[in-house]
Amino acid sequence: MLKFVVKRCVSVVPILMGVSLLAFGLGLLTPGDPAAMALSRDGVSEVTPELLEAKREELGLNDSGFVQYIRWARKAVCGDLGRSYSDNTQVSGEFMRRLPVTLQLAFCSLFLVGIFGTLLGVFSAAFVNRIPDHSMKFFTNLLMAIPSFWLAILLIIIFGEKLKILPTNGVGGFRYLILPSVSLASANIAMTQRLMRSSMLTEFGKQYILAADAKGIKKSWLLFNHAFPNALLPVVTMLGNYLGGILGGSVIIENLFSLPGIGSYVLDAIHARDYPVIQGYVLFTGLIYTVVSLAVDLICAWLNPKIRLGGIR
Amino acid sequence: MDADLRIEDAVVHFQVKNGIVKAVDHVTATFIAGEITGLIGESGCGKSVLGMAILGLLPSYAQTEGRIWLDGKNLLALKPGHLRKLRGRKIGLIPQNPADSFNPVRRIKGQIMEGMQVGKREKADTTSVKKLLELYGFSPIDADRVSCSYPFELSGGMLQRSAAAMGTASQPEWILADEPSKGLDEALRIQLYDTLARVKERGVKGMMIITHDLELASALCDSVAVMYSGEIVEMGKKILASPRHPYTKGLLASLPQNGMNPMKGSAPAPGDGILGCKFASRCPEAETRCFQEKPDNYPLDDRTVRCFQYA
Repeated sequence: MLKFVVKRCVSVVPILMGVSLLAFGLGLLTPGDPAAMALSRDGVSEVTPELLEAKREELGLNDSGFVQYIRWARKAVCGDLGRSYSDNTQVSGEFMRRLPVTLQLAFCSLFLVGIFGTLLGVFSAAFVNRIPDHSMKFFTNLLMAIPSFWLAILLIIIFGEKLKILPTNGVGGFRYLILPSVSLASANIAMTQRLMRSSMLTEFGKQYILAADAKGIKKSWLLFNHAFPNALLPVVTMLGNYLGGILGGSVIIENLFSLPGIGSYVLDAIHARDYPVIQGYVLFTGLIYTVVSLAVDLICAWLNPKIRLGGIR
Repeated sequence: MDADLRIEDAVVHFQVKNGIVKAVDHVTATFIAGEITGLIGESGCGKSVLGMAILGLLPSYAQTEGRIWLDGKNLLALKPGHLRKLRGRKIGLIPQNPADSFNPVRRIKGQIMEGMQVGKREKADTTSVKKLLELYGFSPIDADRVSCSYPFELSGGMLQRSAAAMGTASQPEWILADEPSKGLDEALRIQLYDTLARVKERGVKGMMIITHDLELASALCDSVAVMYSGEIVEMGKKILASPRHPYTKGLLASLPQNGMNPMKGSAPAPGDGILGCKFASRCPEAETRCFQEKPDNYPLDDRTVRCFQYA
């Protein structure tokens, strides 16, 4: 297992290098002269060629792209992603301030998707082609058909405006996360439910389930101790992709519920063409995706003794 | 009350797109308590389906008729929950393909132990799992290792014996072994004979072995039922030593040691509506009558034969 973990961790390095190259390249493609922009930010109104040249030298823009990349990457590794064009704040500092909000929201909805998606999937599979399964099919169709922003507005109207039992904007504890995470999770609960159901049914068709059933064990035991752990593998992969997606910020939901998360930060940055922020975001989401897929790999390996004990590779 | 397992006029059919497939077609048979009964026949003859019907493990779309009597209860009329309570306690299964019969993500120990919990005959703990594995020919050290292993870590022979241990962990009264010799080489087959003999020694009321392995059947079984296309064509004692039905004769003649003379033709598809004897088209001894009328199971000495020759 240790060998597997090390191998997987090492394989992440080139991916991260690629991501950082992309993020850096974005900075090079930025329209406008960075030196001129830096000067105007410093409050210099009359830009002379001498001043520009001096600034270029100061910012290291006269060096080759490779040298610049190394310098940038070294800074990025230390957590310095430069300053925002629009308000001159540290990009990484702002990310760190907003990250907890996004993290809370992401893990809340992952929790909802993980619990309800899998359990309802098992429920459907246990009653396959009977009334509970058919009604679940209807329910999940409905959930998948509802766009998350529409559901969010509906929830705001019902729970915020009419019933006045849940807050609808800002941060401040668990209560504030309920509506956004439900709206973020709903469609994915449905998708996970579907995948879990079909994955369970695939397992039901296998010989080991028949052999286990022949032992006369309880049906619940058969479902949860035999089929469930095997059926979970594809679902974990899907949940990992989902988590990666929402960790990158869920722009619409964060905006609707006025959550100061990463999504809303980037949306503002895109409007303002705030390239250091966008650059930082590209780097950040790349990092998140790699880390999450690494985690998914490790969880799958942990669930599957064949990988854990070195039967494969 | 009757100690034997009695099958009366059992029918299992599957609804398919173009009609009904009768996998088991009006089978009447008795599995005598205290004996090992073999259920033999070629692939697709319905022997495994019959076995699954006894266990109540047929897929939900299978339809059944007739009766299977065990301890005064008709298994085919019981509710699924009731049947579940009989499995493991009354009838156990030694599954086919041992390599696929263990849950790949769980250790052998737990999978054997849950059988013991169902049986409630002995304490379900590590010691009894090891004792059981030792009974099936593992050395104490091996038993220790096997019980803590995952299925993929074991060899085919080890899995075969572990599967037998798993199927019998609950100490059921009846054991059904489904194709136990499928895919085993000669050395493993000899091991299997020994394993199945141990199953019987451990104390079971009766045993059914579903197989297409005639050698296994003649070596182990007290009586044999030969199935062809969903029907039992010959059943009784010493059938393989002195076959009467042309199909049984044909089966034996096709063995390598008997000159490997295969029967011509192939078994009718389960959906074919055949008026007369199902074997008539392949039978070297067939008469005109065989194509027009359906033969019954005619008693002959201590067996029954479904052939007009013995009517």
